[in-house]
Amino acid sequence: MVIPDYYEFGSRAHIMAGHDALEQIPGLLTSMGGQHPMVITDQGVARAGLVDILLQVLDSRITVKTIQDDVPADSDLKTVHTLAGQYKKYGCNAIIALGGGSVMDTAKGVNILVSTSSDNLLAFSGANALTHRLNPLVAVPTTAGTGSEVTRVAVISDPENLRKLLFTSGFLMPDAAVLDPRMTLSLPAPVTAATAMDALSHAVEACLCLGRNPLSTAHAHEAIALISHHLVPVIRQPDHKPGRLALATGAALAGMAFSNSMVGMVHTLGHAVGSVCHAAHGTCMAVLLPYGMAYNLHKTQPLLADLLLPMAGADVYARTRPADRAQKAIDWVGRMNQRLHRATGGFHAVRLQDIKAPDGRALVPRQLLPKIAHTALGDGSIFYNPEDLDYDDCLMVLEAAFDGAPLDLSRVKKG
Amino acid sequence: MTLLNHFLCRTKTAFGTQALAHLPFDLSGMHAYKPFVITDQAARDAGLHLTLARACRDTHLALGLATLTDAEDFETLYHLFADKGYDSFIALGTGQVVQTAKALNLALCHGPEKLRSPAGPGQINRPLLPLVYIPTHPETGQDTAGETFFSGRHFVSANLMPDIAVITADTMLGTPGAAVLDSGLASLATCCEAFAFSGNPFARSYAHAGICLVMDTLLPLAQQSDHGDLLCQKAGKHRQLPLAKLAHAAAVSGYIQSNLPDLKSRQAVAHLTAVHPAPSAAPSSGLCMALALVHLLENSKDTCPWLGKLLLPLTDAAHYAGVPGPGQPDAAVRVIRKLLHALSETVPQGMPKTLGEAGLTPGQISEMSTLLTYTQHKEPPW
Repeated sequence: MVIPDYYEFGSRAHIMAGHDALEQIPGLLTSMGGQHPMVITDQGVARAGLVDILLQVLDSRITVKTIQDDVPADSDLKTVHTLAGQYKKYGCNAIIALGGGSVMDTAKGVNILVSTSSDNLLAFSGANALTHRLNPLVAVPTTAGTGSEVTRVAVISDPENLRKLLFTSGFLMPDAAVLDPRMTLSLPAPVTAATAMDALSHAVEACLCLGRNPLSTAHAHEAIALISHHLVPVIRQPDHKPGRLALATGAALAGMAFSNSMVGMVHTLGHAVGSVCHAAHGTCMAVLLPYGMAYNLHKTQPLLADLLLPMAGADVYARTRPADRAQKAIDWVGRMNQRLHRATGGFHAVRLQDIKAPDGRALVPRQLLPKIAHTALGDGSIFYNPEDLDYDDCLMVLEAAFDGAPLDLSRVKKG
Repeated sequence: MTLLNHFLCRTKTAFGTQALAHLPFDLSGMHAYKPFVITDQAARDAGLHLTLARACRDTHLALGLATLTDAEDFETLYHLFADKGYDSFIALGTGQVVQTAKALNLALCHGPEKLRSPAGPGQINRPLLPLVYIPTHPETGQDTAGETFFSGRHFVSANLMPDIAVITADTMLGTPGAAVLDSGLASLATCCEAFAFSGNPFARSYAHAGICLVMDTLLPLAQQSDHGDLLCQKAGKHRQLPLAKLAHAAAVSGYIQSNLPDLKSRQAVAHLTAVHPAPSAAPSSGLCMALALVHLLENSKDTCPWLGKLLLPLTDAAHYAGVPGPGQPDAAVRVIRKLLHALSETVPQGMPKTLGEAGLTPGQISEMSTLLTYTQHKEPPW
């Protein structure tokens, strides 16, 4: 076992995963003194009837003071301030965050303001600006991908200044993460595929990047096995509750892994594609993941080879020559994208040029690749990638991912 | 039955050479500037309090120091903490040092009367003051578990888990071979049982890492054991890192114990000691647990679906994948038996490798078999 000179691993959220996990929420809130929660969610979640399911399980111990379902797709400062005002107005003492990454990030931002009695969220941006516990926050994810329910990070947009604010603190970690398959049963197949591939990219990068450690790797391998085994069957049978729970559990495990080891170039490039082209994060991750693995192959071969076991199982691993296992793991991810493409009726993208808006318009035009490459250089995750990346490297990978062509490994600089 | 998988680990693990240097930053992140350091005589004699002080030099921290001695009065420590305005604890040591820090924390946050009667899960809901745990040798997991003992009373709450476990070679004291064995085997049993029987993927992830750490270090440490190792001296250079890894495994096993309090290998310790013909000569708790684990695994080879996968953390991916599925449970048990055999050869007087060799009669072993049986195997609901 290779162990780094120094590492940290922590994940303080109380995880509850099960078919009836929602029923644990009243007890959780009561034990934390949070019997008067605000529910923060978005309109898609509300329309899907998930708020109703949540309200049905809250018993007489809990009085929901207000339900706020206006969180936008990209969490922003204005929303956070508005919701903090509502929290105070209704006399809430806890938050239930019901949704995906944006809802979770918004809830974390609101919790900062209401717990510190501050009206200046900017004062808490950056790392470790919080020094006290916040009010009770229960996270109920409605996608199985971001892992935000177990991370200590929030990203909130500041549209007026054209920037995204990063908040990092152990106190931002939700007190509890409740994983219940009822919350993801209605996810459309393409969203299920993209979010699960997002989680897979968290797990894979957690195993490869410079902050990896034995605990993050163990969590990541468990996540990879769950996602690999259950993703395609769930796409084919969307109401399969055990499979949905397995994906939600895998996403949480991947969240625990990457938040303790950080991520690398797949996220570096994926953030940039999302930022420049407004493409869905999970889709970008899915397309770029095999390219990030290939780019780092020469520096991470044994680690990549190890991934073949949780991805493809013991039989495939044993049948593959040791020298071929790393490449086979990369190929396996590419094939997974192809399988998802077929299983979703072509909605799941396998190349950057395939990523489409709901109206069918291509979201990532080739002429924007240089701008994306330039944007990527400003992403913090670049520092954790095993191999160095400069503008030319980013562009080379983006062009290959755009065309769906194999990466020319001879062009990868070996720093 | 629908299985609900819970997992809560309040402790951040900070491992490695820089772990002490990060401590001031971590403490300030918890709004802790005046920590009360509780240590023991062995750590103090080895100068570990100075090692800690050096790591905090030129920072905003003001450390207070108390050394536990037989004469040390709990009430004195309580008043010292309250009167001097300390705001957090650093437990520099294991066992009594940590249990005292946890009990003091409980008394200070909930009032001394809280210690007069035991408290079970759900009865200590409010967070306590920040507690940092710096082990000075590998222990058996109780230090990082959400529990403490005070005057024979047992207190259980996740809030009793340390906020940070700082595990570094720099603070490892010389550890006698028997203590190394006890710690390693206890951690191995806890992690293996959690991995094979809990059906909880969160516990299994921690357990996987814990098993790898033990398999990496226990036998080499036992083979190199310097029987002159003294607890009041720093460990020899070549042993510091393996000891820290074993302490890491012990910390992980504590996290698991907090979430899986009904592990059978732990229950077996009290039972084996009670039925042993000469209780004072009964094997150490870690060895009891390891013997119970082997018995438990043997009894469950045909019924526990996850037992074969245990071969993966016990060996490696190539070995695991190279053994056909039906043979994996037997192979996993063989690895543990082989380890026990190899460890036995490092102990001058040998050590028992089965419950029979530990002195139990066939009838007593049969009783143990009843205890060491999972009537319902918990599997993930997928």
